[in-house]
Amino acid sequence: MKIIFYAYSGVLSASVAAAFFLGILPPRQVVTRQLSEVPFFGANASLYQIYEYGRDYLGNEVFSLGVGKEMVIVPKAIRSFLEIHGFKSHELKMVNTMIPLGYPSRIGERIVSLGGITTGTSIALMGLRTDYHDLIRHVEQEISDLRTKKENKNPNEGILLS
Amino acid sequence: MKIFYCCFGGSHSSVTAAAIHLGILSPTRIPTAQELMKVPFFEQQTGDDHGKFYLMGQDEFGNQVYIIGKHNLGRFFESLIRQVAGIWGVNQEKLVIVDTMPYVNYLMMVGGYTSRRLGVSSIGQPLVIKGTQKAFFKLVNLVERIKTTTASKTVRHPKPG
Repeated sequence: MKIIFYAYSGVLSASVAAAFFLGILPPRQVVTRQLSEVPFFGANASLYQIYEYGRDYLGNEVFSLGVGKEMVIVPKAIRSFLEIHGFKSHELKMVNTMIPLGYPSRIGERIVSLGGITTGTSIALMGLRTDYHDLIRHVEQEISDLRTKKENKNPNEGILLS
Repeated sequence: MKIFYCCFGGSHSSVTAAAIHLGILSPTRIPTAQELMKVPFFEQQTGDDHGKFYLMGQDEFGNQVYIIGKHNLGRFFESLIRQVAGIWGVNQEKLVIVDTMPYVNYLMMVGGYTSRRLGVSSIGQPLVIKGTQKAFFKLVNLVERIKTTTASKTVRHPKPG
């Protein structure tokens, strides 16, 4: 399975979520330095660029993606493209990391997506420290969804996390 | 091979180009309003359809022709789709992504917005039809270029009968 964490910029909350998912970040609090050391965090991003983070211990490949204001159409296009090429829905998990964010993180994401990397990253750093708990809970919820699907043992759902 | 014609809403320019490609519309004359309205997907897509690839048909070379509404992603759309293709191991040489937005004129923009976004088709539809007719031969030229390019990479499949 391939997991894509996506947000406005793809290099802030999505990077943090990917890093947490891969065990790079701890499951509790983080300090600013830990966030800023996350791969691709605050990178001079161009939108719609997919960043690869690596695989988890189960072999799932992890990516982040910045979609700007096209939060609906981009995931839909990716799913639709894979569908017409015969891939099953369980081969992709897309996680919107904007959902649990408060205003500072959202504003930072937006500014970075518009090209203000330094300013946006600074604002998002403040926000993400506060939002970190909610963000990782959101990621865990998404993972637990996958596990639930696995436990349902629906033959159409594939292997997911095992 | 898969050929994707893309525009903002997947309702007008991409659909017209795909219809020319598939022979639904004759490339030698400007279609009437009735002929345009009979083209599958023309003036039909809603916001929910944006971002979905829809199959319009298969051309004489066996290529599948799709349409999609991609909003204002512009050239980034092709880049994104090719990245996804690369990650999933889809052969990129079998993908042709054609942006029809450069051929969209003001009549099509205003008419499309009025009809599809505002839902006032009584005003928007005549405008968009007029605009499509105005842009028609530019779209024909585009499709001819695409067909010439793709024909060299594909084998002709004669139509039955």
